[in-house]
Amino acid sequence: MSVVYLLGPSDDSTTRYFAREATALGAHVRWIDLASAVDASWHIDVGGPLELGDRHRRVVVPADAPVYARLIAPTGVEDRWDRGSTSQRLLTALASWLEMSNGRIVNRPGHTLDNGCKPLHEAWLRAAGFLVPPSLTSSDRRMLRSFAEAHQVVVKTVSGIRADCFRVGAPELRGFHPEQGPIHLQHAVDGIDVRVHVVGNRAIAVGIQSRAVDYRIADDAHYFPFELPLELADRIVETTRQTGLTFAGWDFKLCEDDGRFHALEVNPMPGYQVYDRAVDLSITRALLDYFEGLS
Amino acid sequence: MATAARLRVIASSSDHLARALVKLASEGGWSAEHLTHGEAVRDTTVEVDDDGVSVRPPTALYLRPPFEPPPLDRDERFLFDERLALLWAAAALNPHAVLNRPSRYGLWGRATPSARVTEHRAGYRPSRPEVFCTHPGARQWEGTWAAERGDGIVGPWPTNSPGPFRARPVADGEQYEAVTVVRTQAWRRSDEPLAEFDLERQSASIARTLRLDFAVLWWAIPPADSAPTLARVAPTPSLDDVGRRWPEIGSALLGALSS
Repeated sequence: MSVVYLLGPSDDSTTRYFAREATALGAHVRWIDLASAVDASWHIDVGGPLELGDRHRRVVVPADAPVYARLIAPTGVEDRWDRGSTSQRLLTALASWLEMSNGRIVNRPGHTLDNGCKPLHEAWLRAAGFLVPPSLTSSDRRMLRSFAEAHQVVVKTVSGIRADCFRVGAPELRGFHPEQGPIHLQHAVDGIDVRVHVVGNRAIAVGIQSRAVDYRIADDAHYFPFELPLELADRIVETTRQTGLTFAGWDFKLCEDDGRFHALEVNPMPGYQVYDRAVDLSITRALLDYFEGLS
Repeated sequence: MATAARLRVIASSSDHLARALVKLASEGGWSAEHLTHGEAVRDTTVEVDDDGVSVRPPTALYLRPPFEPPPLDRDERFLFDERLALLWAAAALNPHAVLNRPSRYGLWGRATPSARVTEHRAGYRPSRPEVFCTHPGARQWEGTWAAERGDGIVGPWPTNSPGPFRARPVADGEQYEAVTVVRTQAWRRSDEPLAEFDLERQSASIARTLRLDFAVLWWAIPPADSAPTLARVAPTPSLDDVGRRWPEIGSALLGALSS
Protein backbone atom coordinates (compact mmCIF):
# COMPACT_ATOMS: atom_id res chain seq x y z
CA MET A 1 0.00 0.00 0.00
CA SER A 2 1.43 3.43 -0.95
CA VAL A 3 1.91 6.35 1.41
CA VAL A 4 -1.16 8.43 2.32
CA TYR A 5 -0.43 11.90 3.69
CA LEU A 6 -2.74 13.15 6.42
CA LEU A 7 -3.08 16.91 6.99
CA GLY A 8 -4.97 17.72 10.16
CA PRO A 9 -4.52 19.01 13.71
CA SER A 10 -3.90 16.59 16.57
CA ASP A 11 -6.82 18.06 18.53
CA ASP A 12 -9.24 16.92 15.82
CA SER A 13 -10.67 13.53 16.81
CA THR A 14 -11.38 12.48 13.21
CA THR A 15 -7.76 13.18 12.21
CA ARG A 16 -6.53 11.04 15.10
CA TYR A 17 -9.06 8.32 14.29
CA PHE A 18 -8.01 8.05 10.64
CA ALA A 19 -4.31 7.97 11.59
CA ARG A 20 -4.93 5.13 14.02
CA GLU A 21 -7.41 2.97 12.07
CA ALA A 22 -5.87 3.40 8.63
CA THR A 23 -2.50 2.38 10.11
CA ALA A 24 -4.12 -0.62 11.78
CA LEU A 25 -5.54 -1.62 8.39
CA GLY A 26 -2.03 -1.64 6.93
CA ALA A 27 -1.84 1.82 5.35
CA HIS A 28 1.37 3.81 5.52
CA VAL A 29 0.08 7.11 6.92
CA ARG A 30 2.38 10.13 7.16
CA TRP A 31 0.64 12.60 9.41
CA ILE A 32 1.45 16.32 9.29
CA ASP A 33 0.02 17.74 12.49
CA LEU A 34 -1.27 21.23 11.73
CA ALA A 35 -1.00 22.15 15.42
CA SER A 36 2.80 21.77 15.14
CA ALA A 37 3.01 23.09 11.59
CA VAL A 38 1.76 26.53 12.66
CA ASP A 39 5.04 27.00 14.57
CA ALA A 40 7.25 25.22 12.02
CA SER A 41 8.80 26.51 8.82
CA TRP A 42 7.11 25.73 5.54
CA HIS A 43 7.65 26.24 1.85
CA ILE A 44 4.63 25.51 -0.31
CA ASP A 45 5.04 25.64 -4.06
CA VAL A 46 1.54 25.79 -5.57
CA GLY A 47 1.66 23.16 -8.31
CA GLY A 48 4.95 21.75 -6.95
CA PRO A 49 6.08 20.03 -3.74
CA LEU A 50 5.05 20.98 -0.23
CA GLU A 51 7.69 21.10 2.51
CA LEU A 52 7.15 21.46 6.23
CA GLY A 53 9.60 21.00 9.04
CA ASP A 54 11.24 21.99 12.26
CA ARG A 55 14.56 21.16 13.92
CA HIS A 56 13.54 17.53 14.41
CA ARG A 57 11.63 16.54 11.31
CA ARG A 58 11.16 17.61 7.71
CA VAL A 59 8.41 16.28 5.42
CA VAL A 60 8.25 16.75 1.65
CA VAL A 61 4.92 15.93 0.01
CA PRO A 62 5.16 15.37 -3.75
CA ALA A 63 2.68 17.19 -6.01
CA ASP A 64 1.03 13.88 -6.99
CA ALA A 65 0.71 12.38 -3.50
CA PRO A 66 -2.61 11.10 -2.10
CA VAL A 67 -3.74 13.37 0.74
CA TYR A 68 -6.55 13.21 3.29
CA ALA A 69 -6.96 16.83 4.37
CA ARG A 70 -8.84 18.19 7.34
CA LEU A 71 -7.91 21.86 7.12
CA ILE A 72 -9.01 23.01 10.55
CA ALA A 73 -7.28 25.68 12.65
CA PRO A 74 -5.86 24.06 15.81
CA THR A 75 -7.83 24.84 18.98
CA GLY A 76 -6.76 28.01 20.76
CA VAL A 77 -4.74 29.33 17.84
CA GLU A 78 -7.01 32.36 17.52
CA ASP A 79 -6.25 33.42 21.09
CA ARG A 80 -2.98 34.96 19.98
CA TRP A 81 -3.25 37.26 16.99
CA ASP A 82 0.13 36.40 15.41
CA ARG A 83 -0.45 32.62 15.66
CA GLY A 84 -4.01 33.02 14.42
CA SER A 85 -2.79 34.99 11.45
CA THR A 86 -0.03 32.47 10.66
CA SER A 87 -2.49 29.60 11.01
CA GLN A 88 -4.92 31.27 8.59
CA ARG A 89 -2.10 31.87 6.12
CA LEU A 90 -0.98 28.23 6.39
CA LEU A 91 -4.51 26.95 5.78
CA THR A 92 -4.83 29.23 2.74
CA ALA A 93 -1.50 27.98 1.41
CA LEU A 94 -2.44 24.33 1.96
CA ALA A 95 -5.85 24.78 0.33
CA SER A 96 -4.19 26.41 -2.68
CA TRP A 97 -1.63 23.61 -2.92
CA LEU A 98 -4.29 20.89 -2.60
CA GLU A 99 -6.48 22.43 -5.29
CA MET A 100 -3.59 22.44 -7.78
CA SER A 101 -2.12 19.07 -6.79
CA ASN A 102 -2.17 16.12 -9.21
CA GLY A 103 -2.82 13.50 -6.55
CA ARG A 104 -5.95 11.89 -5.14
CA ILE A 105 -7.21 14.45 -2.62
CA VAL A 106 -9.98 14.15 -0.03
CA ASN A 107 -11.52 16.68 -0.42
CA ARG A 108 -9.99 18.82 -3.12
CA PRO A 109 -10.71 22.53 -2.40
CA GLY A 110 -12.79 24.29 -5.02
CA HIS A 111 -15.95 22.35 -4.20
CA THR A 112 -19.20 24.04 -3.19
CA LEU A 113 -19.25 25.74 0.23
CA ASP A 114 -22.95 26.23 0.86
CA ASN A 115 -23.03 23.91 3.85
CA GLY A 116 -21.90 27.09 5.59
CA CYS A 117 -25.08 28.87 4.50
CA LYS A 118 -28.04 26.68 5.48
CA PRO A 119 -30.88 28.47 3.61
CA LEU A 120 -28.90 28.33 0.37
CA HIS A 121 -27.88 24.73 1.06
CA GLU A 122 -31.47 23.69 1.64
CA ALA A 123 -32.70 25.54 -1.46
CA TRP A 124 -30.07 23.69 -3.49
CA LEU A 125 -31.04 20.29 -1.99
CA ARG A 126 -34.65 20.96 -2.97
CA ALA A 127 -33.63 21.99 -6.48
CA ALA A 128 -31.62 18.76 -6.73
CA GLY A 129 -34.84 16.82 -6.12
CA PHE A 130 -34.56 15.94 -2.44
CA LEU A 131 -37.34 16.29 0.08
CA VAL A 132 -36.23 19.00 2.54
CA PRO A 133 -38.14 20.28 5.61
CA PRO A 134 -39.27 23.93 5.17
CA SER A 135 -37.20 26.55 6.99
CA LEU A 136 -37.25 30.19 8.02
CA THR A 137 -34.14 32.25 8.74
CA SER A 138 -34.76 35.63 10.27
CA SER A 139 -34.28 38.07 13.14
CA ASP A 140 -37.96 39.06 13.01
CA ARG A 141 -39.54 37.85 16.27
CA ARG A 142 -43.08 37.98 14.92
CA MET A 143 -42.23 35.83 11.90
CA LEU A 144 -40.19 33.39 13.96
CA ARG A 145 -42.98 32.97 16.49
CA SER A 146 -45.58 32.52 13.78
CA PHE A 147 -43.45 29.83 12.12
CA ALA A 148 -42.95 28.04 15.44
CA GLU A 149 -46.65 28.26 16.30
CA ALA A 150 -47.69 26.55 13.07
CA HIS A 151 -45.23 23.63 13.28
CA GLN A 152 -42.94 21.67 15.54
CA VAL A 153 -39.56 23.20 14.77
CA VAL A 154 -35.89 22.73 15.53
CA VAL A 155 -33.31 25.50 15.70
CA LYS A 156 -29.93 25.18 13.95
CA THR A 157 -27.04 27.44 13.13
CA VAL A 158 -27.26 29.43 9.89
CA SER A 159 -23.55 29.09 9.16
CA GLY A 160 -21.37 25.99 9.16
CA ILE A 161 -20.44 26.27 12.83
CA ARG A 162 -21.00 23.02 14.70
CA ALA A 163 -23.70 23.47 17.35
CA ASP A 164 -26.33 21.33 19.00
CA CYS A 165 -29.76 21.15 17.39
CA PHE A 166 -32.81 21.39 19.66
CA ARG A 167 -36.56 21.91 19.54
CA VAL A 168 -37.97 25.32 20.29
CA GLY A 169 -41.55 26.50 20.80
CA ALA A 170 -43.19 29.85 20.12
CA PRO A 171 -43.26 30.82 23.83
CA GLU A 172 -39.49 30.46 24.06
CA LEU A 173 -39.11 33.00 21.25
CA ARG A 174 -41.05 35.65 23.17
CA GLY A 175 -37.89 37.12 24.68
CA PHE A 176 -35.91 37.05 21.45
CA HIS A 177 -34.39 40.36 20.31
CA PRO A 178 -33.28 40.98 16.71
CA GLU A 179 -29.77 41.85 17.98
CA GLN A 180 -29.43 38.18 19.06
CA GLY A 181 -30.19 36.88 15.59
CA PRO A 182 -30.58 35.60 13.07
CA ILE A 183 -32.13 32.22 13.86
CA HIS A 184 -32.60 29.30 11.50
CA LEU A 185 -35.80 27.35 12.24
CA GLN A 186 -36.74 24.17 10.38
CA HIS A 187 -39.75 21.89 10.57
CA ALA A 188 -39.02 18.95 12.84
CA VAL A 189 -39.27 15.46 11.36
CA ASP A 190 -39.90 12.51 13.64
CA GLY A 191 -38.17 9.25 12.79
CA ILE A 192 -34.80 7.60 12.79
CA ASP A 193 -31.70 9.41 11.57
CA VAL A 194 -29.80 8.02 8.61
CA ARG A 195 -26.25 9.10 7.91
CA VAL A 196 -24.81 8.24 4.51
CA HIS A 197 -21.11 8.59 3.77
CA VAL A 198 -20.18 8.81 0.14
CA VAL A 199 -16.62 7.93 -0.81
CA GLY A 200 -16.11 8.20 -4.56
CA ASN A 201 -18.82 5.99 -6.06
CA ARG A 202 -19.73 4.18 -2.84
CA ALA A 203 -22.50 5.04 -0.37
CA ILE A 204 -22.26 3.58 3.14
CA ALA A 205 -25.34 4.12 5.31
CA VAL A 206 -25.79 3.99 9.09
CA GLY A 207 -29.10 4.23 10.94
CA ILE A 208 -29.30 5.93 14.33
CA GLN A 209 -32.06 5.24 16.82
CA SER A 210 -32.41 7.73 19.65
CA ARG A 211 -35.12 9.47 21.64
CA ALA A 212 -33.13 12.73 21.51
CA VAL A 213 -33.63 15.52 18.96
CA ASP A 214 -29.87 15.63 18.39
CA TYR A 215 -28.54 12.07 18.69
CA ARG A 216 -24.94 13.34 18.64
CA ILE A 217 -25.26 14.54 22.20
CA ALA A 218 -27.52 11.74 23.44
CA ASP A 219 -26.42 8.80 25.54
CA ASP A 220 -29.11 6.46 24.13
CA ALA A 221 -28.00 6.61 20.47
CA HIS A 222 -27.81 3.20 18.81
CA TYR A 223 -25.89 3.02 15.52
CA PHE A 224 -26.51 0.18 13.06
CA PRO A 225 -25.78 -0.67 9.39
CA PHE A 226 -28.62 0.56 7.19
CA GLU A 227 -29.65 -0.58 3.73
CA LEU A 228 -30.40 2.43 1.56
CA PRO A 229 -32.78 2.16 -1.41
CA LEU A 230 -30.61 1.74 -4.50
CA GLU A 231 -32.18 4.65 -6.36
CA LEU A 232 -31.48 7.01 -3.45
CA ALA A 233 -27.91 5.74 -3.05
CA ASP A 234 -27.22 6.33 -6.76
CA ARG A 235 -28.71 9.81 -6.60
CA ILE A 236 -26.64 10.72 -3.54
CA VAL A 237 -23.41 9.50 -5.17
CA GLU A 238 -24.14 11.45 -8.36
CA THR A 239 -25.12 14.63 -6.50
CA THR A 240 -21.97 14.41 -4.36
CA ARG A 241 -19.87 14.13 -7.50
CA GLN A 242 -21.56 17.22 -8.96
CA THR A 243 -20.64 19.27 -5.89
CA GLY A 244 -16.95 18.47 -6.43
CA LEU A 245 -16.70 16.31 -3.29
CA THR A 246 -15.11 12.87 -3.07
CA PHE A 247 -16.05 12.31 0.57
CA ALA A 248 -19.27 13.65 2.09
CA GLY A 249 -21.63 12.90 4.96
CA TRP A 250 -25.35 13.16 4.15
CA ASP A 251 -27.88 13.52 6.96
CA PHE A 252 -31.46 12.28 6.51
CA LYS A 253 -34.49 11.71 8.68
CA LEU A 254 -36.58 8.68 7.71
CA CYS A 255 -39.98 10.12 8.55
CA GLU A 256 -42.16 7.82 10.65
CA ASP A 257 -45.32 9.47 9.27
CA ASP A 258 -44.73 9.30 5.51
CA GLY A 259 -41.90 6.72 5.30
CA ARG A 260 -39.82 9.06 3.13
CA PHE A 261 -36.25 10.29 3.43
CA HIS A 262 -35.99 13.99 4.30
CA ALA A 263 -32.58 15.49 3.53
CA LEU A 264 -31.10 17.76 6.19
CA GLU A 265 -27.59 18.53 4.98
CA VAL A 266 -24.45 17.39 3.20
CA ASN A 267 -21.30 17.75 5.29
CA PRO A 268 -18.18 18.38 3.17
CA MET A 269 -15.75 17.43 5.98
CA PRO A 270 -17.52 14.69 7.88
CA GLY A 271 -16.45 13.59 11.33
CA TYR A 272 -17.12 9.94 10.54
CA GLN A 273 -15.62 7.82 13.28
CA VAL A 274 -18.76 6.88 15.26
CA TYR A 275 -20.47 5.70 12.06
CA ASP A 276 -17.38 3.83 10.88
CA ARG A 277 -17.41 1.68 14.00
CA ALA A 278 -21.00 0.61 13.21
CA VAL A 279 -20.02 -0.65 9.76
CA ASP A 280 -16.78 -2.45 10.62
CA LEU A 281 -14.53 0.39 9.39
CA SER A 282 -16.09 0.31 5.91
CA ILE A 283 -15.67 4.07 5.55
CA THR A 284 -11.96 4.04 6.38
CA ARG A 285 -11.52 1.08 4.03
CA ALA A 286 -13.35 2.96 1.26
CA LEU A 287 -11.10 5.99 1.79
CA LEU A 288 -7.99 3.81 1.53
CA ASP A 289 -9.38 2.16 -1.62
CA TYR A 290 -9.92 5.60 -3.08
CA PHE A 291 -6.34 6.65 -2.32
CA GLU A 292 -5.11 3.41 -3.93
CA GLY A 293 -7.14 4.17 -7.07
CA LEU A 294 -9.47 1.22 -6.46
CA SER A 295 -12.70 3.26 -6.43
CA MET B 1 -46.83 57.50 -10.37
CA ALA B 2 -44.01 54.98 -10.80
CA THR B 3 -42.26 53.68 -7.68
CA ALA B 4 -38.54 54.42 -7.42
CA ALA B 5 -36.30 51.41 -7.97
CA ARG B 6 -34.92 50.13 -4.67
CA LEU B 7 -31.26 49.46 -4.01
CA ARG B 8 -29.62 48.20 -0.84
CA VAL B 9 -25.83 48.28 -0.56
CA ILE B 10 -24.56 46.28 2.43
CA ALA B 11 -21.06 47.38 3.34
CA SER B 12 -18.97 48.76 6.18
CA SER B 13 -19.75 52.38 7.03
CA SER B 14 -16.25 53.41 5.90
CA ASP B 15 -16.63 51.74 2.47
CA HIS B 16 -16.15 54.65 0.06
CA LEU B 17 -17.30 52.76 -3.01
CA ALA B 18 -20.56 51.81 -1.30
CA ARG B 19 -21.12 55.44 -0.33
CA ALA B 20 -20.35 56.68 -3.84
CA LEU B 21 -22.69 54.13 -5.42
CA VAL B 22 -25.59 54.99 -3.11
CA LYS B 23 -25.03 58.71 -3.74
CA LEU B 24 -25.04 58.15 -7.49
CA ALA B 25 -28.18 56.00 -7.27
CA SER B 26 -30.02 58.56 -5.12
CA GLU B 27 -29.14 61.33 -7.55
CA GLY B 28 -30.52 59.11 -10.32
CA GLY B 29 -33.89 58.74 -8.61
CA TRP B 30 -33.37 55.39 -6.90
CA SER B 31 -34.54 54.70 -3.37
CA ALA B 32 -31.06 53.69 -2.24
CA GLU B 33 -29.62 52.87 1.18
CA HIS B 34 -26.20 51.97 2.54
CA LEU B 35 -26.48 49.63 5.55
CA THR B 36 -23.81 47.92 7.59
CA HIS B 37 -23.98 44.14 7.82
CA GLY B 38 -25.32 44.34 11.37
CA GLU B 39 -28.05 46.77 10.33
CA ALA B 40 -29.06 44.85 7.20
CA VAL B 41 -29.44 41.50 8.89
CA ARG B 42 -32.16 42.80 11.26
CA ASP B 43 -34.85 42.96 8.58
CA THR B 44 -33.52 40.23 6.27
CA THR B 45 -35.53 37.03 6.06
CA VAL B 46 -35.15 33.96 3.87
CA GLU B 47 -37.85 31.31 3.73
CA VAL B 48 -37.43 28.00 1.91
CA ASP B 49 -40.57 25.88 1.60
CA ASP B 50 -42.81 23.98 -0.80
CA ASP B 51 -43.76 27.23 -2.55
CA GLY B 52 -40.10 27.96 -3.34
CA VAL B 53 -37.79 30.58 -1.89
CA SER B 54 -38.77 34.00 -0.60
CA VAL B 55 -36.35 36.75 0.34
CA ARG B 56 -37.23 39.93 2.21
CA PRO B 57 -36.87 42.85 1.77
CA PRO B 58 -37.53 42.87 -2.00
CA THR B 59 -34.72 45.02 -3.38
CA ALA B 60 -31.79 45.05 -5.76
CA LEU B 61 -28.68 44.28 -3.73
CA TYR B 62 -24.93 44.63 -3.59
CA LEU B 63 -23.26 42.80 -0.69
CA ARG B 64 -19.67 43.91 0.02
CA PRO B 65 -17.24 42.28 2.47
CA PRO B 66 -16.98 43.76 5.97
CA PHE B 67 -13.75 45.76 6.41
CA GLU B 68 -13.55 44.93 10.08
CA PRO B 69 -11.65 41.73 10.95
CA PRO B 70 -13.77 38.95 12.50
CA PRO B 71 -14.13 39.46 16.29
CA LEU B 72 -11.76 37.53 18.55
CA ASP B 73 -14.44 36.92 21.18
CA ARG B 74 -16.03 33.51 20.47
CA ASP B 75 -19.66 34.60 20.99
CA GLU B 76 -19.22 37.70 18.88
CA ARG B 77 -17.46 35.66 16.21
CA PHE B 78 -20.38 33.23 16.19
CA LEU B 79 -22.84 36.07 15.64
CA PHE B 80 -20.61 37.58 12.96
CA ASP B 81 -20.57 34.28 11.02
CA GLU B 82 -24.31 33.73 11.46
CA ARG B 83 -25.12 37.21 10.13
CA LEU B 84 -22.85 36.87 7.14
CA ALA B 85 -24.36 33.47 6.34
CA LEU B 86 -27.88 34.93 6.24
CA LEU B 87 -26.75 37.83 4.04
CA TRP B 88 -25.00 35.34 1.77
CA ALA B 89 -28.27 33.39 1.39
CA ALA B 90 -30.34 36.53 0.86
CA ALA B 91 -28.00 37.77 -1.87
CA ALA B 92 -27.66 34.39 -3.56
CA LEU B 93 -31.40 33.63 -3.60
CA ASN B 94 -32.70 37.17 -4.19
CA PRO B 95 -35.07 37.30 -7.19
CA HIS B 96 -34.04 40.91 -7.87
CA ALA B 97 -30.83 42.12 -9.49
CA VAL B 98 -27.72 41.39 -7.43
CA LEU B 99 -24.27 42.66 -8.27
CA ASN B 100 -21.62 39.93 -7.91
CA ARG B 101 -24.33 37.53 -6.81
CA PRO B 102 -22.85 35.05 -4.31
CA SER B 103 -23.19 31.40 -5.22
CA ARG B 104 -22.83 27.98 -3.66
CA TYR B 105 -19.08 28.43 -4.17
CA GLY B 106 -18.84 31.43 -1.87
CA LEU B 107 -19.50 35.09 -1.30
CA TRP B 108 -16.99 36.82 -3.55
CA GLY B 109 -17.05 34.94 -6.83
CA ARG B 110 -14.49 32.24 -7.56
CA ALA B 111 -11.43 34.38 -6.84
CA THR B 112 -9.10 33.05 -4.10
CA PRO B 113 -6.15 34.45 -2.08
CA SER B 114 -3.89 32.42 -4.37
CA ALA B 115 -3.36 34.17 -7.70
CA ARG B 116 -2.36 30.88 -9.32
CA VAL B 117 -5.52 29.09 -8.20
CA THR B 118 -7.64 32.05 -9.32
CA GLU B 119 -6.01 31.90 -12.74
CA HIS B 120 -6.56 28.16 -12.89
CA ARG B 121 -10.24 28.58 -12.07
CA ALA B 122 -10.52 31.28 -14.72
CA GLY B 123 -8.98 28.94 -17.29
CA TYR B 124 -6.14 31.43 -17.74
CA ARG B 125 -2.83 30.17 -19.15
CA PRO B 126 0.06 30.55 -18.73
CA SER B 127 0.41 31.08 -15.01
CA ARG B 128 3.51 32.20 -13.09
CA PRO B 129 4.81 30.08 -10.19
CA GLU B 130 3.56 30.94 -6.71
CA VAL B 131 5.09 30.09 -3.35
CA PHE B 132 3.81 30.46 0.22
CA CYS B 133 6.63 30.30 2.74
CA THR B 134 7.81 31.29 6.20
CA HIS B 135 11.59 31.73 5.80
CA PRO B 136 12.55 32.93 2.32
CA GLY B 137 16.03 33.95 3.43
CA ALA B 138 17.01 30.29 3.77
CA ARG B 139 16.79 29.66 0.01
CA GLN B 140 18.22 30.75 -3.31
CA TRP B 141 15.68 32.48 -5.57
CA GLU B 142 16.26 32.70 -9.29
CA GLY B 143 15.33 36.05 -10.85
CA THR B 144 13.23 38.77 -9.25
CA TRP B 145 10.26 37.99 -7.04
CA ALA B 146 7.50 40.10 -5.51
CA ALA B 147 6.30 39.07 -2.07
CA GLU B 148 3.32 39.96 0.05
CA ARG B 149 2.94 39.58 3.80
CA GLY B 150 -0.29 38.53 5.47
CA ASP B 151 -1.22 42.18 5.97
CA GLY B 152 -0.96 42.80 2.23
CA ILE B 153 2.28 44.81 2.45
CA VAL B 154 4.79 44.10 -0.30
CA GLY B 155 8.38 44.17 0.91
CA PRO B 156 11.95 43.47 -0.23
CA TRP B 157 12.65 39.90 -1.30
CA PRO B 158 14.11 37.59 -0.22
CA THR B 159 14.17 38.83 3.33
CA ASN B 160 15.12 37.56 6.74
CA SER B 161 12.11 39.21 8.39
CA PRO B 162 9.47 36.82 9.73
CA GLY B 163 6.78 35.62 7.30
CA PRO B 164 4.67 34.04 6.18
CA PHE B 165 4.82 35.40 2.65
CA ARG B 166 3.16 34.77 -0.68
CA ALA B 167 5.58 35.32 -3.54
CA ARG B 168 5.61 35.24 -7.36
CA PRO B 169 8.34 35.99 -9.89
CA VAL B 170 8.20 39.33 -11.73
CA ALA B 171 9.98 40.63 -14.81
CA ASP B 172 12.50 43.41 -14.16
CA GLY B 173 11.02 46.77 -15.11
CA GLU B 174 7.47 45.58 -15.70
CA GLN B 175 4.59 48.05 -15.36
CA TYR B 176 1.01 47.40 -14.26
CA GLU B 177 -2.35 48.21 -15.81
CA ALA B 178 -5.74 47.87 -14.11
CA VAL B 179 -8.92 47.02 -15.99
CA THR B 180 -12.32 47.50 -14.37
CA VAL B 181 -15.05 45.16 -15.60
CA VAL B 182 -18.80 45.65 -15.27
CA ARG B 183 -20.33 42.63 -16.98
CA THR B 184 -19.44 42.97 -20.69
CA GLN B 185 -18.03 46.49 -20.38
CA ALA B 186 -14.42 47.21 -19.40
CA TRP B 187 -12.24 50.28 -18.84
CA ARG B 188 -8.46 50.53 -18.64
CA ARG B 189 -7.11 52.79 -15.93
CA SER B 190 -4.38 54.37 -18.06
CA ASP B 191 -4.20 55.73 -21.61
CA GLU B 192 -1.03 53.78 -22.41
CA PRO B 193 -0.94 52.39 -25.97
CA LEU B 194 -1.89 48.81 -25.13
CA ALA B 195 -4.83 48.34 -27.51
CA GLU B 196 -3.09 45.47 -29.34
CA PHE B 197 -3.42 43.28 -26.24
CA ASP B 198 -7.18 43.80 -25.94
CA LEU B 199 -6.99 43.68 -22.15
CA GLU B 200 -10.61 44.82 -21.87
CA ARG B 201 -11.97 41.78 -23.70
CA GLN B 202 -9.65 39.38 -21.87
CA SER B 203 -10.57 40.90 -18.51
CA ALA B 204 -14.33 40.68 -19.14
CA SER B 205 -13.96 37.05 -20.14
CA ILE B 206 -11.94 36.15 -17.03
CA ALA B 207 -14.33 38.01 -14.71
CA ARG B 208 -17.31 36.19 -16.22
CA THR B 209 -15.62 32.81 -15.66
CA LEU B 210 -14.98 33.79 -12.04
CA ARG B 211 -18.69 34.66 -11.68
CA LEU B 212 -17.99 38.35 -11.14
CA ASP B 213 -20.08 41.14 -12.66
CA PHE B 214 -17.78 43.75 -11.18
CA ALA B 215 -14.04 43.31 -10.66
CA VAL B 216 -10.71 44.97 -11.23
CA LEU B 217 -8.02 42.91 -12.95
CA TRP B 218 -4.38 43.90 -12.70
CA TRP B 219 -2.06 43.04 -15.57
CA ALA B 220 1.75 42.96 -15.59
CA ILE B 221 3.11 44.65 -18.69
CA PRO B 222 6.67 43.48 -19.47
CA PRO B 223 9.17 46.02 -20.86
CA ALA B 224 9.88 43.90 -23.96
CA ASP B 225 7.44 42.87 -26.66
CA SER B 226 6.04 39.90 -24.77
CA ALA B 227 2.35 39.79 -23.88
CA PRO B 228 0.94 41.07 -20.57
CA THR B 229 0.23 38.50 -17.89
CA LEU B 230 -2.54 38.53 -15.33
CA ALA B 231 -1.18 39.63 -11.94
CA ARG B 232 -4.17 39.92 -9.61
CA VAL B 233 -7.96 39.92 -9.50
CA ALA B 234 -9.81 42.19 -7.05
CA PRO B 235 -13.31 40.68 -6.65
CA THR B 236 -14.55 43.51 -4.42
CA PRO B 237 -12.87 46.60 -5.85
CA SER B 238 -12.35 49.76 -3.84
CA LEU B 239 -12.95 53.25 -5.18
CA ASP B 240 -9.16 53.58 -5.47
CA ASP B 241 -8.99 50.41 -7.59
CA VAL B 242 -11.56 51.84 -9.99
CA GLY B 243 -9.82 55.22 -10.23
CA ARG B 244 -10.79 58.18 -12.37
CA ARG B 245 -13.33 56.28 -14.50
CA TRP B 246 -15.77 56.14 -11.59
CA PRO B 247 -18.56 58.25 -13.16
CA GLU B 248 -18.86 55.88 -16.16
CA ILE B 249 -18.30 52.79 -14.06
CA GLY B 250 -20.81 53.85 -11.41
CA SER B 251 -23.44 54.35 -14.09
CA ALA B 252 -22.66 50.93 -15.54
CA LEU B 253 -23.05 49.40 -12.06
CA LEU B 254 -26.50 50.98 -11.71
CA GLY B 255 -27.33 49.66 -15.17
CA ALA B 256 -26.37 46.16 -14.04
CA LEU B 257 -28.46 46.57 -10.88
CA SER B 258 -31.54 47.60 -12.84
CA SER B 259 -31.45 44.73 -15.32
